Amino acid sequence: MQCDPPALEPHQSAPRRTHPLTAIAGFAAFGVGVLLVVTTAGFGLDLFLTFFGGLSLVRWWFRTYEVGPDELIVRDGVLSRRIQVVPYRRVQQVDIRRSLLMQIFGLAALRIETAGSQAGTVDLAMLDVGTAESLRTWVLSRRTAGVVDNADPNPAAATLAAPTPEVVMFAISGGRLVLAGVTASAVAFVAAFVVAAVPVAVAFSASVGIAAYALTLWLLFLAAVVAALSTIGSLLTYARYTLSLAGDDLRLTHGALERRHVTLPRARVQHIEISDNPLRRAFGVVSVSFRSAASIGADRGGATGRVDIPIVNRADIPGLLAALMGARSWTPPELQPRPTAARRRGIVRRTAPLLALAAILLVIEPIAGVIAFGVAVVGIPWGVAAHRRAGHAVTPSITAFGAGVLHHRLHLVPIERIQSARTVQSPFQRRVDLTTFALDIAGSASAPGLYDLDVEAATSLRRALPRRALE
Amino acid sequence: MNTRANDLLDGTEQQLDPKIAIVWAVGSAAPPLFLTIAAVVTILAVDAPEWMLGVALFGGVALTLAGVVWARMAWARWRWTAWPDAVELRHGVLRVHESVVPYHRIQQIDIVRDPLERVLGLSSVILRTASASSDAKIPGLPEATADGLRRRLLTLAGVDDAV
Repeated sequence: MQCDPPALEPHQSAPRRTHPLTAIAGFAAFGVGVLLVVTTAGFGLDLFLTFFGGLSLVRWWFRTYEVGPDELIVRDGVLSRRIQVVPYRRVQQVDIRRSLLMQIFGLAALRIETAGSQAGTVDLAMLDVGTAESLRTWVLSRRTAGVVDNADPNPAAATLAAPTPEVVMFAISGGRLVLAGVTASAVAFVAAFVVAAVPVAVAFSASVGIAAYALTLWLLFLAAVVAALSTIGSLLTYARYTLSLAGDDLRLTHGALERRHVTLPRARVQHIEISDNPLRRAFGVVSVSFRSAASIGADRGGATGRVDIPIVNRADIPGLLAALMGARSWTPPELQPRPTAARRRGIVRRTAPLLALAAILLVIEPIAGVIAFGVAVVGIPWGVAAHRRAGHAVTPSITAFGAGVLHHRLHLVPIERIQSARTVQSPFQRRVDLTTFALDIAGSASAPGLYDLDVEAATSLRRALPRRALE
Repeated sequence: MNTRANDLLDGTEQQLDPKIAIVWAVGSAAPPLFLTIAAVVTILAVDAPEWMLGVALFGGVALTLAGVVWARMAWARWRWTAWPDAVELRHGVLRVHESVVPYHRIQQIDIVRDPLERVLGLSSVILRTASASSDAKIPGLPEATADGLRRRLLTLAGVDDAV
């Protein structure tokens, strides 16, 4: 049994192991915590090293993967064995991650995702880079091959297809990344905080016992730290960002300390979200995120089924989306507004609870009641603005939902990707013939949709859209 | 109710078996009933004032009855329709949920029977798509209908991974 197979022949079926350093890394990650417990409990260090080091080694030894012609088989577990079989046909997304340490040792973590739950995810950490990359190429090239030459009597004869040429669609310079960091929603929040800093400082300086100017400075300093951290985070995560297209696959590479390489077939993109905030609108930029059907939710290494483009010029969106969806061209859909009853409900929903609270407070604590009343009144323009932005559109290929007052969002769902459709109507909505509409899509835990559509439109959408997905 | 599988997909609106209301009533009325009994026993044991006994009895009985009425209403509002290409559900007492699940998205069909359902001869059919948020559970079907529906729908389920 070999540990480092020749990189060019990944399809020769024989169980292999991940890189031996995996055992040491596993020991290091698992061991440090236990080390504290064990040494304080009075056991010797040598005993500890032997036991947990041995355990880690045994675990590594019992985890093997086998690269078959049509599927990847992972065998795992010392006492209770687990065998995971992943047909290449079902692969949704392939990730390679390389943390700083892995880069130093020439290693990489490969992750292969199928639709749905965590059970469909194969983690091969760690492999040496060459193996990881050739395995990725192999898995990607066998996705369709398995369907075509199913009847091939000699699967071992299958060879690696010539790699598809990669066309870089999009790269982000360092300056743009700083702009992305500075205009992130967190920073918009900080800006609001700064505006509020002076009155807050004046109001509370007496009760805290610090001079008003000192408190103001302190709050401003905190705001600056948050803004700087957000910018640095964005810089590190998205440094050296490129998005490219190889055949029908989107390839995404980014990260300064930890490099991430994502390969996602564009036909598997389930949901695209375009969002911005007032700051970004001022600069004419937006961010885009798209989701695959890969495992639901986040786990170590972040949300895997989600791919972000942190900053794009608004003007470049049509070209980018056309490429993302493999269409010839793309124009932003004309959103149909919701009925006027939705505006009334939008205002009532945003003001009524606060008004009730204000009424109670007026009796108990008049000043607080007046403040609550003032805040409640803001709900009126807020509701009007929310109504103005909200709407939906259906084109032959996608469904679009727009929403948001400050933070504008446009959700796009390819009609072919819709799993099912739902409406939910509360008693309040029933009185005014409105309903909440949602589309269920693979993998994602959240279902894109829209509040307060009129019942007739929502009903026809609910009936028509999931059925159109077949055509 | 029609129990022949092939006739299930003709687009007629169907109700659930009324016996499912018993299952739901037991589920929603049992907790308040047990709490009431526990409260009454405690009150009697510690010699608490009599009005507390009245409050506990009245509140407990009201909650239990509400659970039963709720279960009955939930049954009365439940409708499902199997079209040749998709199933449509409509249910909910206060919040009305309606959903459409096309057969070609079906990844898996589960049949679930809890002990009480088994006694009453009922099954729940759960259609699973690749989305976790799909609402496609049809509870309270007679066993024969559920099995027939499952067999019929499996022939129509997504052939590829339908993702």
